[in-house]
Amino acid sequence: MIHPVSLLKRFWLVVVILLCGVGYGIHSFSYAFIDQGYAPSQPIAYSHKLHAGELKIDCKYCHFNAPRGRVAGVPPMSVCIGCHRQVATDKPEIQKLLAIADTGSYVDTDGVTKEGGVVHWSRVHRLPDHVYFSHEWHDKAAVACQTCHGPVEEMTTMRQHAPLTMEWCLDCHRKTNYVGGPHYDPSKPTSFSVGTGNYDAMRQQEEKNPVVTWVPRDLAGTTPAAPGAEAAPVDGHGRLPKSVADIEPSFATTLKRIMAEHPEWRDLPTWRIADLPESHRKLYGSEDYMNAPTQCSTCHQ
Amino acid sequence: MTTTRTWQAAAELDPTLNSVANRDEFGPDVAKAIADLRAKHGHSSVSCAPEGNKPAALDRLRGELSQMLPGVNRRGFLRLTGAAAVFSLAACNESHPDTLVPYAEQPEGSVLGKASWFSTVVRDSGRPVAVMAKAFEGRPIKLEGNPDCPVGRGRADARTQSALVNLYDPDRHSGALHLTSPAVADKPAVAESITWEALDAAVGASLKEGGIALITGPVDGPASGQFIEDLTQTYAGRLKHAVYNPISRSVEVQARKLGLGVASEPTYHVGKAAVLVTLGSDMLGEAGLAEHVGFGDLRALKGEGAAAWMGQVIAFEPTLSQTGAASDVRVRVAADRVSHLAWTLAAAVATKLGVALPAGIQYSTALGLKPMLREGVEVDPLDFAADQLVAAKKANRHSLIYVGGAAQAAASCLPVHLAAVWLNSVLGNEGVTVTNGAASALPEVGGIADIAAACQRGEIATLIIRDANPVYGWPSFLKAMAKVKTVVVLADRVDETAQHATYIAPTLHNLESWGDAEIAPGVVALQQPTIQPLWDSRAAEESLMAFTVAALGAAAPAVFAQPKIVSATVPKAVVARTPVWLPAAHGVQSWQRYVKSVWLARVKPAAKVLAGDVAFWNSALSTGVLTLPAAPSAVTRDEAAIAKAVGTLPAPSTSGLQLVISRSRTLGDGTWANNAWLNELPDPVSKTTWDNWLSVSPADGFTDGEVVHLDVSGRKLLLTVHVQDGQHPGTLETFFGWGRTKAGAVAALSADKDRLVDAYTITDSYLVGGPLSATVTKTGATYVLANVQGHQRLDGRDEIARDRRFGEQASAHHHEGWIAGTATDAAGKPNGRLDLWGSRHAYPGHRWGMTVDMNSCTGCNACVTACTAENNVPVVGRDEVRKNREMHWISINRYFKGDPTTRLDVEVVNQPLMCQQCENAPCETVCPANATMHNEQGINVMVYNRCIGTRYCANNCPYKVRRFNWYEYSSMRVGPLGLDNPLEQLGRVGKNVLTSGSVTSNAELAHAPLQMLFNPDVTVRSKGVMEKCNLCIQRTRDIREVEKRTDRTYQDGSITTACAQTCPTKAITFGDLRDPFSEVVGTAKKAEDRGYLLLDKELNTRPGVVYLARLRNRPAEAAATKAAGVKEAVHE
Repeated sequence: MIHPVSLLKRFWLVVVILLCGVGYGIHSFSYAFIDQGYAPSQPIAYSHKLHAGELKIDCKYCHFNAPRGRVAGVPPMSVCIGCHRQVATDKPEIQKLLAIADTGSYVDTDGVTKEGGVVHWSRVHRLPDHVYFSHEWHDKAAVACQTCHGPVEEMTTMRQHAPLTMEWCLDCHRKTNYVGGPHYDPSKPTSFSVGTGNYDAMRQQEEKNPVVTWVPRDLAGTTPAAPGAEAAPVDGHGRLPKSVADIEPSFATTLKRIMAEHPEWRDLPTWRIADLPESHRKLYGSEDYMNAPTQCSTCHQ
Repeated sequence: MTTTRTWQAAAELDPTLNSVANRDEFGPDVAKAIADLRAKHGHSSVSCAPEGNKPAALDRLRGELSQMLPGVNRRGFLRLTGAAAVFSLAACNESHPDTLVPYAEQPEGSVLGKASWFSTVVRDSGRPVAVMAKAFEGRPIKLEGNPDCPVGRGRADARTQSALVNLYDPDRHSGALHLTSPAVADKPAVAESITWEALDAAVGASLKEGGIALITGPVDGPASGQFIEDLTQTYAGRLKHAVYNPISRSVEVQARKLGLGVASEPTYHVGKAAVLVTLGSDMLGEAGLAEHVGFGDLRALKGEGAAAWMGQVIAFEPTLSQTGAASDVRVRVAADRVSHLAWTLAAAVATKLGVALPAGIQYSTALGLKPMLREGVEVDPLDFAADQLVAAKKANRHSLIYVGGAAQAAASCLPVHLAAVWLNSVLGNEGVTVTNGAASALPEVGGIADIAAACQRGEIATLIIRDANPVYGWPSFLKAMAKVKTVVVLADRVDETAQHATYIAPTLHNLESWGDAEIAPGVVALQQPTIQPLWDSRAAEESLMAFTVAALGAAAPAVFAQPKIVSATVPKAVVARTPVWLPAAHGVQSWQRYVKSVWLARVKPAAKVLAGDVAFWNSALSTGVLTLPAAPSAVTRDEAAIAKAVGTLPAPSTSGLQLVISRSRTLGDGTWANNAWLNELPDPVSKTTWDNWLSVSPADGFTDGEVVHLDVSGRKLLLTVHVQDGQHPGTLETFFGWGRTKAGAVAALSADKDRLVDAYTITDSYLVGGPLSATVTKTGATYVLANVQGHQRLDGRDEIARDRRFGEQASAHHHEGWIAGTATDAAGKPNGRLDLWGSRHAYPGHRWGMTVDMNSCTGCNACVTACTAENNVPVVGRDEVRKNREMHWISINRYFKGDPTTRLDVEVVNQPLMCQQCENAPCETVCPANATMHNEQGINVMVYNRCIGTRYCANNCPYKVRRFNWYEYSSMRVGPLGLDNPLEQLGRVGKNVLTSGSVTSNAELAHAPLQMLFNPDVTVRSKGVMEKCNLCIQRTRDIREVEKRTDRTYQDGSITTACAQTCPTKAITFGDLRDPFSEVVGTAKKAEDRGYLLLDKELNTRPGVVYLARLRNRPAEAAATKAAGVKEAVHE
C-alpha cells in the first residue's frame, strides 16, 4: 500500500496538469454561453450607422417602446414604411422592404416563407427568461442607450456589445449606487432586491437628466465619419447609402425648410408632447397613450 | 374465483385486449417508423430536416417518431431520447435560433410587454360568467372576474379560470368536415374536408324543405335570444328548438311552474339568507359562481360584540357533499328518504308557523336521523332546522331551502323540489333569496325529448346541434339521430355527437367570438373576442346564418344577410394559418353587427342612459356588464297543484344500496373534460384527481382501491372504491362528467372504450340523477386512485386546522396575538422563545402578507386554478400525482374531525395552504446555493437560476409547500406519461404535446398552441428546479413600478394575489402588513381571537400568513357529554 502523500509526490506534475485542464475547461465553459460580439446577418441590411449615426435619428423614434415598456421592441413595419414610402425608394434594400410590406410575405435565404408582411429580424440581444430587465426604468434613469448597447451609431450590422452577464449588470449597479434608492447597501447583496421606499435620489437625477434625451439635429450637412468607422456592409444585400445626401433630395430639402421656418423645433425630441402645439397634444392624448412614432416631418412634408 | 391482482385502469381487466407491454421496441416497427419519418421530411437522415437544428424541432421529430410507434417501453423511450440527443449534437451549431417579429402596425395605445384587459363572457357548461381577459400582444393569458358584475364582483370559479386551456386546446378541430360514413359501433367515422362554401350549399339544400330541429346549449342574453327567435320565425313552423343541458334543471322549472305558476329557472340569492337548509343537494358542488359568492356573504361575520351574528348552514344529505363539508349542522339521511324528510320538515315548519300543509300529502316520518344534542337535550335535527327557519322569519330575516343539482334532477325528485318551493314561499323567501331566472334564458323543459320523438317519427329532415353533446349525456339519443338524413353539428371538436353527424362546422371559443349573456335577472353582459380565431372555424351563429342564406337565397331575412363585400386583406387564423372566414365576403350578416344592432335597439332603451349609440356601445364594451331595471316577479302559490303533484310519496326501500350521482366537482358536467387543469384538480371532498370513483360509506365494509362492478338495473360501471368519511351507510356516490372518449387526448386518459366510468351510461336519459337502487360486486382487483389526500402532510404537530363553536369563548391557544407576536417585535426573542436567528429582518417598505379565513373557505379550488394560470404551474399527470409530485403552489388541505372508529359523523375543515413566507424560514438556512432567500418585502423568494435541486429546502419546510420539477413538466401537456404507462400500452393515450423550445413565429405556434397560455411575467421553470408560492411576486413588482412612476405609495387593494383576487367567498385577503389601515391587518385584528399562525408556536417560524379558525354556528352540546370524553381526533 503506497501512502497517498508519496503518490502525490511522485505524480505531482500529472495532478497539476490535470487541474490546469479542469480549470481551463470550467473557464471556457463559463464563457461558452456569452454572445458578446454576436452580429447575425439580417434579412434587410439595415444600418444603424446610417440612421442613428449619420442621420441622427433618435433611438426612441423607432424604438418608441423603450421609454414605456420592459422591452425596447423592434419598430413596427409602419415606422419603416412611414418614411421609406418616400425616401430612398430606388435602393434595392428599400425595394425589398416595400415588397415585403406590399405582398404580405417573403421567402428568406433558407427558403422558408415568412408571413405577416413584416421583416422577421434575427434577434441579437437575448436575456435569459428569469431576468426581468426593464428598458423603461433605465431610460427614465437617463442611462444612455449606448451604455449597454455600445456605439450603435457606428454599427452597420447590429452586434451585441456587452456580455449581458449578471456580473456585468451588478458591476454597473454597484458603481452607480443606483439599484434601489436609499436602502441600497453595497456591502449587503440582499439589499439588491429593495424596491420600495422613496425614490428621491432617482427623481433628482431624472430632473437633471430629463426623461427624453435631447439629440441635437444637424441637418445642415453630413456628419464627418468617425475615424475608424466601419465600412458599409457588402454582404449580398447590396450597398447602403452613406450619407444624408444619398437620401431622396426633395425630402431632405423639405425638412431643411421646415426646420428653417421653425427654429424652435430644431432640437425637438421625438416624444416631447408638451412642446407640441395645442391641437396636436389633444390629438395624441396623454403620454401614456401615445405610441404613433410620428415626427413633424412625417405629415408636414 | 378471481385471483387478486393489481391494475391501474378498468380496461386492463378486459382479457380480450392484448397487452403490448413486452413488445420489443427496436424491432421492425421502429425501423419502419424511422424510415417513414425520413420519407415524410424528404431527407435521408432525420437530423438534416430543414428545421432540425432547433431543439424544438428535434423534440417535435421525437414526438412524431414516438407517435408513429405503436408501443414503446421505458428502455426504448430512453434510447430514442438518446438518439435525439445525438441528432442535436450532430446538427450544426446555431446559437441564436430566435427571430424577432414586429407588428405591421402596432395597435394604438398598446405597449409591448404590458397587458391589455378586455371585458367578455365565458360560459362554464352554459352558465355565463362575466370576466376580464388579460391579454399580451393579442393573446389572453389570464381571466379574472369582471369587478363591475354585481353577481361575481370580480371573482371567478375554478372552471372559469380554466377556460383558457379550452381555448388553446390542440384537440380542437379545424376546418369543415363531411362525414361520408359516420361512426358505427367500433368503426370510426370516415371524413373528408370540405370548404365552407360547399358546407353552406349542402346544408342549405337540406334546409330547403322538411322539418328542422335545432338543439343548443343554454341560451340567454338579448342578442342570443333574439337570434333563436329570428331563426324560428324564418323557418315558420318548420323549426323546432330545444335547449339541452346534460344535467337538466327541468324538474326545478317544473316545480316552480306547478307550485308558483312561472316556468323559469330559479335564481338563488344565497347572500341574503340567514339560514340555508339543503335537502339532499350539494349547492356548492353543483351551482355556479353566484351561489359561491352568496355563500361567502352568508358566512361572513356581521355586527360586532354581542350583536355579532353569522349565517347558518344546515345540510341534510346522504353523501358528504361540499356544502355538507362547509355546513354548521350536517345530518345524514338515506337518499331515498330525502323526499319524506323534505315534507316532514315542511310539516314541522307549518306547525310552528301555524299554517296548513297542502292537503293530501302522505309521507313517512321514519327518517332514521341521529338525534343531535342541544344544550344537553337530545333533539330531532329536523325540529332544530324548523326552529331556526321560523326564528329567522320572526327576526325579519330570510332563509333559503335549496334543492337542486344532479342528485335531484330526475323526474322522481319533483316532490322534493315542490317541498322547497312550498317552504320558500311560506317562509317569505320567494322574491328575496329565490327569484325567477333571467328573462331571456330559454327554458329547457322536455324540448329535447320532443325532438327525439319527432326524429323517431321521421318528421325531421335536418337536425342541427350547436354547442351541445346529447350523445354523451344521453347515449340513446343516437337512435333518434340515426333516423335523420342530415345532421349538422356545430362544435369545437369532433365529439361523441359530432362523430355521428353528416357535417361538422367547427365553432369558436367564447374568447374568440362575439355574443352576449344575461348573467342574472337584469344583468346583461357583452362577449367580445380577445384573440383572432386560432383554427379554421367560425362563430356558430354565423354558420347558422350562412346556412339560412344558402337555403333561402334572396328570401333570407334581412337581418341574416348583407351585401357582399370582398376585402383585399383577409386575416389568417393564428394557428391554422388559413384565411379567416369573413361573413361579409359571403353576403352573410356578421354576428358582431347582429349583436350590436340588438344591443342598440333593445338594451340601450332599457338601460335608460343618456348616450349616443357610439358612446353607449363603447362603454358597454369596456364595462362589459350592464344592470337593467328588472320588474319584480310576482308569483302565487298553488297549494292544490302542489298537493296533487306530490300525493303519496313512495315508501322508502328498507334494504339495498342507494346510488347518488352528482356532477363532478372538478370537471362539471363533462363538457370541459379535456381540460388538463380540471383533471388535475383534487375533488374538494375526496381529494381524488384524474379518475372517477365510487364513494362508499365506511360502515359498508369496503376498502380503498377495490375495483367493483356497479350494477344499476343491468347497466354496469367499473369503478374504484373510495371510502368516504361521513357518507351514510348504504349510500353510494359516483360522478357525471368522466369517461369522455372523443373529447381529446387528455379526457381519453380517464376513459375507456366501453365507457365503464361514465355515469351517463347508467342514467341514459335527458333527465339524469335521482337516487337509484344499485348492487355492487367486487372484482377482486385493485386500482390506485391518484388521491392527494395525505400528500405533503403536516401531521405529528399540534392542532393545525382549528375550529370552534361560534359564540364560544376562545380557548387559550386562540389568543396568540399574531401582531404582538411577530410584526411589531423588535427585541428578537418574543414570548421567551428560543430563537436561532440573531437579527430580525427590516422591512423598509412594504411587508406583504395574507389572512386565510377558513370559515369562508368552501374548498372550491378557484384559488388553485387561478394560481395555476397566473404562475405557469404545470400539470404533472396521474402517475406523478400518485408519487406525491403535484405542483400546485396552493393546495386545499381537508381535515376531518370526529369519531375515528365510525368515521360517519365527521366535521370538515378546509385549509388553503401556500408558502407561509416565514420570517425565520427553515428553507432559507439550508439552501447551499442561496437560491431561496428573504427579500425586504417579507417574501421568501426563489431564485430559479441559482437552484441546483438539492431539495434540502423542501425537506426542511414544515409546511410541505415546496414543489420540485422532477421532469420538464412545463414542456408537457399532462406530465410525463412515460411509455411504460399501462394506459399508453392500451392505446388510450393521445399526444403529449411538447411545448419546449423557443417559439417566435406563428408557424411554430401551430405545433404548440398551449404555449400561448404562458404568463410572460413569470419564469417557466425547468427540470431540477424547486418552486413555490411567492405571493405573486410579479404583481408586487408591478406595483413597485407604478410607485416609481407616480410618486405615490401603493394604495391598499390596488394589487392582490391571483388566489385572493378570485376567491369566490373572499376567504383570502392580501395586503401590506405594515400598513395599519390595510384590509389584511383589519381582517386579522377583527378576528384576533380566532387568528393563529400555523406551527409558529412549535417552530417559531413567524409566518406572514394568518389563519382564522373555522366557526361552527350551532348550539352548544351539553357539558356532560364533553366530560364523558368522546374522543375527538383529527385525521387528514
